[in-house]
Amino acid sequence: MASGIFKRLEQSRWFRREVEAMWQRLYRMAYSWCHDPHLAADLVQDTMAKALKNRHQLRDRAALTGWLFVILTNSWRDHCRHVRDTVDIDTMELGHDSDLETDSDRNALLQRVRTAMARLSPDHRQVLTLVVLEGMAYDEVARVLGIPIGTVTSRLCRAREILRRNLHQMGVAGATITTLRRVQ
Amino acid sequence: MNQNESISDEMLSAFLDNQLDARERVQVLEALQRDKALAARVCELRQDMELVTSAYRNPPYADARPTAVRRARRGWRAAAAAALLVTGVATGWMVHAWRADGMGGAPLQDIAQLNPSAPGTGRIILHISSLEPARAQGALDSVEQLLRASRSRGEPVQVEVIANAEGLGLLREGTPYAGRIQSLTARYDNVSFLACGIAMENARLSENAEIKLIPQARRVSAALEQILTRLKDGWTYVRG
Repeated sequence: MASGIFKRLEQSRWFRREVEAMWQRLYRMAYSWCHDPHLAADLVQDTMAKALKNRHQLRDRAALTGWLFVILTNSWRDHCRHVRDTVDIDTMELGHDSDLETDSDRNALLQRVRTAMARLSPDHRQVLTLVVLEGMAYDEVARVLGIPIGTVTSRLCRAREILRRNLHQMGVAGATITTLRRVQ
Repeated sequence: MNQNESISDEMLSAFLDNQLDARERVQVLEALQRDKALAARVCELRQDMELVTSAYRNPPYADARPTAVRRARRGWRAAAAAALLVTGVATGWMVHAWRADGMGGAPLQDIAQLNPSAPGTGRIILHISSLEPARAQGALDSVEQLLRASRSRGEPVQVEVIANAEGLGLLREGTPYAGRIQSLTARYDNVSFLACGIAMENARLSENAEIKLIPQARRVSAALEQILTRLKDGWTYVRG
């Protein structure tokens, strides 16, 4: 009986897109944490492998997305534990966009944003990316990171302040002046 | 009048993430209406978040690896996808469960919470800041239901849909919702679609190309400004 459902699901292009999207969501998150495409790909592969191996642990069908992010978080944590004190953020290579026009406004701007993000502490960066890139609710972030919801709230607020300061220092503030005028 | 002091930085941050309940949200919106500096700060912070989203929209992939390795990786990935699919069926997940990632409540539910006794619920500004298919679709469904219900009951209604941040994609040329929006505006003249100028400017900067909207959409200077103006005029604010 299940095979009929299986076939229908398999044939659904929408579903295939969803699976692909899940990979990309995890990859994007991993990249925003480590800013290294190779490492990000490894982290996601690690996550998918662990998910498959431990799939019996997942009881709640609605919890799949959060569960995958929990595994990704653990993989990232394990990695950080191994390489602690060996990664210097200021020398971290960002972007890897040698095939793009690095001098274009767009890339320069986005590069600066990534650098500003890389200068946040890992804790701040994680809450911010889970909320902003993944659109997670605070309680879900708390579950994924295994921290109290109050900590999520305060970390986010702090992360925003520091990011604003970093961006400002890097000259990403121009448009805000026009915004200010427009609102008045 | 000193209410602004009750808006802490954390509350503002939670406001940006749509994590406040309806009452708190109104409290912040009212404070924003009074306090220009606070409004400017919100704009600034929201803009930062849009920049972060853009910065990771197309993350670089590790293409420098040998092709064979990449091919193997891709093969593994397909296998993983298939295995996840099997797992899903075996444990009885529904595919929609993939979408159920703790997003806020359904739109329009908020109307009752926001303005239970207000006579002016006939004027509604619906705010869309996400392109998450379930939410965008849900918002358009709600708009259509509302328009249909008000027409059949003979109660006039005015609806504005304002899109910013990721939600801007809803109104951009090539949006999958173009047909839906066109048919809505063709059938109802009391609905309009507005695009946030700041979001358009950010998209223009990050994509290095002019942003084109579908013909039914109109550009306004800023989403926040539009929302504040409408609130001032007694409209009901609903988050899509």
